[in-house]
Amino acid sequence: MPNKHIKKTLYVFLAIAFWFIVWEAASFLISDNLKLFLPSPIAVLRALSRLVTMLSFWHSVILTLLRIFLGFICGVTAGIIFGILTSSFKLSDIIISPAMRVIRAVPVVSFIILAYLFISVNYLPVFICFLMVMPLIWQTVHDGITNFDKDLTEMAKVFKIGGLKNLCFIKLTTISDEIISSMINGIGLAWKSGVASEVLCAPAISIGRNLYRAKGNISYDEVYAITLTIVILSIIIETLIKFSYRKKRKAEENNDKV
Amino acid sequence: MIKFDNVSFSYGDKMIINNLSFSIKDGENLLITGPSGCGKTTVGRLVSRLLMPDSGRITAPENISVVFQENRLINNIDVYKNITLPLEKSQLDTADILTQQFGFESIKHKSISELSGGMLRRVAILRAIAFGGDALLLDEPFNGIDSENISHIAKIIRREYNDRAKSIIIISHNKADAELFDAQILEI
Repeated sequence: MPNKHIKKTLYVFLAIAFWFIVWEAASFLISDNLKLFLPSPIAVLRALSRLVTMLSFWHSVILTLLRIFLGFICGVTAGIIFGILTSSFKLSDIIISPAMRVIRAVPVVSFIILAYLFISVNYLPVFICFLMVMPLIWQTVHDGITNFDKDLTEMAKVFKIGGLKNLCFIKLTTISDEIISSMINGIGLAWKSGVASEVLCAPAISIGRNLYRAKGNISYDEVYAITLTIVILSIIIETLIKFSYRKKRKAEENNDKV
Repeated sequence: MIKFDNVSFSYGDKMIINNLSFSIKDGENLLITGPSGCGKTTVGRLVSRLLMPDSGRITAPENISVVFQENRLINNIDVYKNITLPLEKSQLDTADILTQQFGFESIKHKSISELSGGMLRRVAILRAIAFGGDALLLDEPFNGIDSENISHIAKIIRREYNDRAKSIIIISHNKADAELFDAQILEI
């Protein structure tokens, strides 16, 4: 088992090293006047090491994280509630489902531009993350409950398990793996849309504003460094969700073995 | 009392049950047997009102506890929650006693995915007994359970149902199961 783990980690490092070499080579080979737009990995790491020593950088990272996390949590909660409603009540399905499909189809930039008119720039990324995550979770819950296992539905009918008990302990429990899988997809989406909305609307303290400012100052090493930070943060959060889910499953399994 | 009066049922054009009649009094047991595909499980589904007959009349108690042919347990909750999910608070003491009698004390907090096929079958049976309906329907109840446990479980089932004047219907390809329950045999 540990060997397998070491092997996996080694592969990840090898992949990272490969792409760093490709990046370094590309940066070395392009003409001098384009070098500004494709700095070498070393230059980017240097810019990143400069940024991480600045308190204002961490301040913006924390505020961006909070905005995205808040939008994500609201999106998951609303998605579950709407999914339950549309799969349980015909009228809710008629009213809510088309709206959800429209939200999924509308480009995120259109939402950012429209919401910019009505919502304070500090809360706009929260709203955008919410809009991106909610339909994803809604679809999973709606489909999961609508196409729910007929055998378990019959079992619930025979044993007269109805209402909230049926919803929480049979339906939502059975589709919980699918919901968590959608949440993992949703966090990536929340990061992309959240930072995009920050770039376009530039809230006072945010990663997006830093990115926009770096681009304006033609500091592309900084643009890459901030992008790298976003990627790393996104991976960390995604890994944390996966890890806490696996830990929960493992704890359950360990309990079983006692 | 459970009574079928000239009951017929078909899936589309295919007649499954044709003018079936039988009756058992409260506390009596019936084993329904026959070759594969003869409609044994369909009779069970008609008794438990999961299907409605095309014609004829069925008399059966409102609350029937069922052990389905498939276990139909919920994967992401533990054994004890699976057993007690259909129960009222007042029934929990009985569930605890039955859990002990089934020897499930040590595994009651295990997740369903951790259990063997025979264990899962026993959990499904325990859930049905604990539910305590006015009659019990067992569809191929002892698949995967060893003979020692079969007689022990049958004793508990008879005590919980027959001693309270409740009927048991067993659907099985194995006629020998009738002896365990002192049941009449209906071959279809």
